[in-house]
Amino acid sequence: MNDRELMLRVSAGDGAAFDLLVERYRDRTVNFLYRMTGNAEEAEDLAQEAFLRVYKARKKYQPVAEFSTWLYRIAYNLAVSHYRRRGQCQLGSLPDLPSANPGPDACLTSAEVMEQVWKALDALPPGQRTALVLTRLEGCSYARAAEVMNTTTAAIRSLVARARETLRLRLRNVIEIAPASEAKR
Amino acid sequence: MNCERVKDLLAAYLDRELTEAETCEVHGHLAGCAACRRLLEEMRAVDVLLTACPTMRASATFERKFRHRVQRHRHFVVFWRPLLRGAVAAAAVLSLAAAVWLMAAVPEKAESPLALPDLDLLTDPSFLGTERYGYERVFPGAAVVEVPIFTPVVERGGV
Repeated sequence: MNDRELMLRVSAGDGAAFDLLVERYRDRTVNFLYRMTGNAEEAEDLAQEAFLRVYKARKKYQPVAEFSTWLYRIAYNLAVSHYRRRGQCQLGSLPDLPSANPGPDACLTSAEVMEQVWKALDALPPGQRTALVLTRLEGCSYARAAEVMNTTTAAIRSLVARARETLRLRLRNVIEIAPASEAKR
Repeated sequence: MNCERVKDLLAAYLDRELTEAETCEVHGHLAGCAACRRLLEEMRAVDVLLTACPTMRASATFERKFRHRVQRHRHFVVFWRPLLRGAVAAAAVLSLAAAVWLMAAVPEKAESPLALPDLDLLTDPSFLGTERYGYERVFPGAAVVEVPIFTPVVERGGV
């Protein structure tokens, strides 16, 4: 059963369908918010709030957009409010968390390199960071990212280009020491 | 297409977000420009580093905490929200009733105890001289203990 069908069932009062949706998207939402806030506890808290908002709005749900886009949008708005409340948008220090999908590249990369990548990501303005996280790490298309961030595809293209260029310049020394095999993807 | 233009498009090129025409142009430029190819490789390397960033999964307590949150919300909807609505409605009715009562009870011209005393009386020259200039004269009929405000020391006609 796809997300829309599940959400329509939730609208009709099916609690089990809601549990299924939460199960399907909980890790992805927590991970997205973790990349946005840099804090595991806050990411979980915001993810729960995002699901609660979905639950509260279940009766008003209109299947015009993808459920995941809607969820990302709620999560993104929560992250933005969180930044405003906190008055800054720092990711904090790199946590000592095991990667959920530790590929061969992750094994090769040292903690110091990751620290630098994390700091470089941290230094990006929130808009650029969100666009980059959505498109590069969450696998969203530019159109979908634009929908999540309530902007245009052209704006996303610009944000991603600027974010990548900034990261490239900041991580130049890291890129140079990275094994050549990493650069071929 | 020059290098500057290609530089702007490289990120979208990597993400396969360019139009077919743009992709062909970038492709053609890259074939003949070593500097832009190098740039592309650097961007790819950044992508690899980004994807190697730590990821996070929901904790084991996520489900339990979330259920608790939903329960709290349901409790609010079922119990507190109607109660709050009732309280707000009751407060509104009481306020309205109080407003109506006040409008009916207050006379047109209120005699406020704070109303200013008769200023003519204060400046009346007959008060100067022998008579004591007291509270009772200023506020005639006031059933309070007389507290002299001041005693004039100036005699009639004197300076």
